[in-house]
Amino acid sequence: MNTFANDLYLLVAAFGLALPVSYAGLPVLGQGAFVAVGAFGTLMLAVHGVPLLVAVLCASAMAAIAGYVLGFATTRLAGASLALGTWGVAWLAYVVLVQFPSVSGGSQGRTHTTPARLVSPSLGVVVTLHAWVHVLAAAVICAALAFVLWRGGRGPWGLDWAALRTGPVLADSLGVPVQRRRRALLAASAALGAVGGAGTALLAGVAAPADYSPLLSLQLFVAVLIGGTATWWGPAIGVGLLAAVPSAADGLANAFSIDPLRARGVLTAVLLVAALAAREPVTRLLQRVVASLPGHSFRVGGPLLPDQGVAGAYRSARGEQRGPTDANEGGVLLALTGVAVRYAGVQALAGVDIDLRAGEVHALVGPNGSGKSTVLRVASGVLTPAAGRVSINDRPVPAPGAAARRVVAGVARTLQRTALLGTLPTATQCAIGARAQDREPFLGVRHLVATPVARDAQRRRDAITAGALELTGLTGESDLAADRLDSASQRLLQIARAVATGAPAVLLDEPAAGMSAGQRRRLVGTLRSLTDSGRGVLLVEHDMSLIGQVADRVTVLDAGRVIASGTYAEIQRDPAVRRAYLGEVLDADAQEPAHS
Amino acid sequence: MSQLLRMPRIPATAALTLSLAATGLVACSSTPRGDDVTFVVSAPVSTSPWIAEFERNGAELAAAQLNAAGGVTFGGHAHHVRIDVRDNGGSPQQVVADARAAVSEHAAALIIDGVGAKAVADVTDPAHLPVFVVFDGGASFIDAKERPTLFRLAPADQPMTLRLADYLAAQHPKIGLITDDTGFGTDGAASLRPAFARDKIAVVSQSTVPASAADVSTQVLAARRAGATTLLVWAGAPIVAAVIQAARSTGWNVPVWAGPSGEDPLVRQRLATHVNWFDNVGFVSFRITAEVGPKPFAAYRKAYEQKYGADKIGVKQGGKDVVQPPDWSMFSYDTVKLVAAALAKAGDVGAPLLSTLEGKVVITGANGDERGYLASTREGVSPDDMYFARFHGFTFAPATDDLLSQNLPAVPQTE
Repeated sequence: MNTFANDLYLLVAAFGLALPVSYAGLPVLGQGAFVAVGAFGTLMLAVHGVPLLVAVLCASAMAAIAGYVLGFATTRLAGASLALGTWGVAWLAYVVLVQFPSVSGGSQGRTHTTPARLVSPSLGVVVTLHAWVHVLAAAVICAALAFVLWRGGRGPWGLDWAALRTGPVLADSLGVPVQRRRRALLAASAALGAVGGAGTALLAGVAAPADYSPLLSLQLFVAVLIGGTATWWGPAIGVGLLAAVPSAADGLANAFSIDPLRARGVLTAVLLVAALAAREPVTRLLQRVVASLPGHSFRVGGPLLPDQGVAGAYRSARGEQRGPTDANEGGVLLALTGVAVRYAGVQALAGVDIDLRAGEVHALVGPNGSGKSTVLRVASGVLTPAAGRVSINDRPVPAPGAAARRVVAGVARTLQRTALLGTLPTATQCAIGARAQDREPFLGVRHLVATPVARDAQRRRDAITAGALELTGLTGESDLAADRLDSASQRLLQIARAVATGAPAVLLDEPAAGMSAGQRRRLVGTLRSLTDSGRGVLLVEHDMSLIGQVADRVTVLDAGRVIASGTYAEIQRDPAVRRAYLGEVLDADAQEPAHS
Repeated sequence: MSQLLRMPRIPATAALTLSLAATGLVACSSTPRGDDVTFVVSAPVSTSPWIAEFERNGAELAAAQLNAAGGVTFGGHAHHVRIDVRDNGGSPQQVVADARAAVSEHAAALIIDGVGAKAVADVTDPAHLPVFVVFDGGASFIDAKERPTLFRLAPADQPMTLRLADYLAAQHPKIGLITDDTGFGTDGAASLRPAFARDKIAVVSQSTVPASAADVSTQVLAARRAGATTLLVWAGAPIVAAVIQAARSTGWNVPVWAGPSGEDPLVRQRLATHVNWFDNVGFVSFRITAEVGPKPFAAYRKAYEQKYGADKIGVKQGGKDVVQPPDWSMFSYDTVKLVAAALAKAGDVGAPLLSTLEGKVVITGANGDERGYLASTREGVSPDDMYFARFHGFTFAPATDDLLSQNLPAVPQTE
């Protein structure tokens, strides 16, 4: 019973770790540190007379703060750097515990009477924490966490987590506040780790540095890893396997007449490697089992849209769909005034003035290196200009540094390269964009209990998603994994995601790259639909024939300066443009010499 | 191609399934038989294998001898003695888990190295399960009133440090004290300070180093600059070796004294190429042989080495292998024998056994010393049983300038 309770508390910590690791794709190796904060924090507070429940809550809050601070320091790192950074925290916590016996109690540890008792003098209630009480408490917490992961993974949180996991840079460009979400997940993970740590310490009546060595962090990480990606049941499978492996190793040792104490370490390692190798087939098998349960459906790669499907949702909720926010017909959606940017001594932009109005396609052309993409980066907020001003709907823009805030303010951008959110279905990728239109606070929490507000928000997201897919001609491919779309559809999906954010100003970076003539015609139709719906499109494109078909205005950049602006016909006649850029094109189109 | 890539996972999955099935086998095999009397040994197998080995070997040797003689008779019939060894990995929480397992197995006693001693009492006191510490000498956890089920059958730090202070006082040394950050080190430092104060011995420098430190040159140099004339190191074996190395490699032939870890084979293994560095190195520990002479220990040693072989430590002296005498294993050996004797008298495990251990049973231990407890004490090794040993090359012998040590015979350490 005690062992089971201990394993359940470790499962609580593993559920917490699953948030950043399994759901957000962050290789966090420092969970043991937060488990230690919970264990020692609770026991230290209890020694000073703090009631146990309050002590556990305080220790969890301390861990959450530590996790959030760790997020500031590490979440901009990626891959191995992040893993090593968080692993360092696990070591740091261990070394501090070893070096300060006054905190940790030294090798004998910090002790507490066991079984512990919860006392409420005001209510006259005393609860003795026998092993079965621990089992019950830990099981309830685990069940609650499993529910949160299951239900939360199918709502707004699930969309954000999927975006963080599959493409953080892209998620940022779709309005997902990546760093804030990561910090929040680390804080939640740390708090849950602390709850698990407090539980193990109260159960055993002791916490010592040796119990919270960096090995614990590694074990929890492996448990989550075994459990698979974004599966609510994964941590349970992982912790269960880890709990069974030492006994299994002993069994193997006995079967082969080897001294179990000598062989356990080696056999445990071997079985662990086997478990990791068997992870994928086992996960697939379990996914099928879970999917076969009544009331469940499983879609590889991420959260689900509602059962009624995209088209149905669109039809039923079309009336609720919000158009481009604040889009005044012909009004200025985006304006860059006197913007200057320097890259390592190179003047990328020098006093550029560009605006984008509602209902127009404003094309930005110029030779390679003229500053077109830099304009998009400044406008979308990922680049801070050295001088000049950016305004959206005549209002000051959020501080640069991340695109997410600009998306909410009204500017969305596609990337030059084809960027997908992993293998998430097409509709799900658009739904992630539609998250930028959610304005209701605590929508993730509300979704857990299916409040009317949460249901309305979901219907709205579904409608927006359906609208974006219809606008880009991808309705028929809404359930298809994005990596199975053809290249043109993938480029259109980028537009659909940006459209779904609801931003009235859409910045497209070479959307026609790699498209055939037929596919370009489809793109032209999409761009027309965008402007018809009141959006403004700032289009960076090299295909002058496409620009000729869709652009209402064209601005020509050369060496970071605007050298011409006007209609397509006007810039065609501009001598400076002809010299700088269009000569050869005009030569082909008008059968005139490029340089006369 | 994809089929080929999937192939390795099939054996992996099979191995996993097999291992999980084996879990059930273990569960079955670890269930005690009804007429067994179980001793649970919670040892740091994966973290301190030397300690774990003597803890385990001593207990298993005693069990083998008892079983060969028909087991332990109590409650009207003979019981087979079973030793259940568990790896605590140096974790107090695991020791508590082992204690719970011992309670659920209705074990006769729990044998631990000392880690987790403070924490197990909440589990063992209500169950009247006696717990024996067979290595750690710290003063902080043995308390007959607070933890009535916790006994120690190992030398306690306090009498050792008092004896050492008395011994060193005659030379009027200036002590450079180096301890490590383990419980062993901090408990030792806590006992040494009042002992030196009582004998008015000057401690001119004092430092605590991490147990994992590879180099303690800074601390040794600080002691030298402070004018230390004797180095005293109370720490794990790696730190003892590091202190000797740091002093001798700079040509400082200062006397170096260590706690019981000085005889740990690891010290000699680490300094295997510098036998001369052991000149002027000694340690305080419990005496291996008793007043009755070396015969009892020799008999014990013979039985031990017949079962486990001689413990060759990997260095040679005079062309012969140096072996470690199985001294520390005597404590777990004596524990099993003492509890078996108490069981025969008490008639049952639990409260009757605990009551009998409190002053109603005394045995002759492996080295001829008497082992037993008074009702009010929980220390099983007499303060008079401490001695000082000095190294002569890679072997050690009782010091000849101490009244209690000089009459003890040297134990053979080569073969």
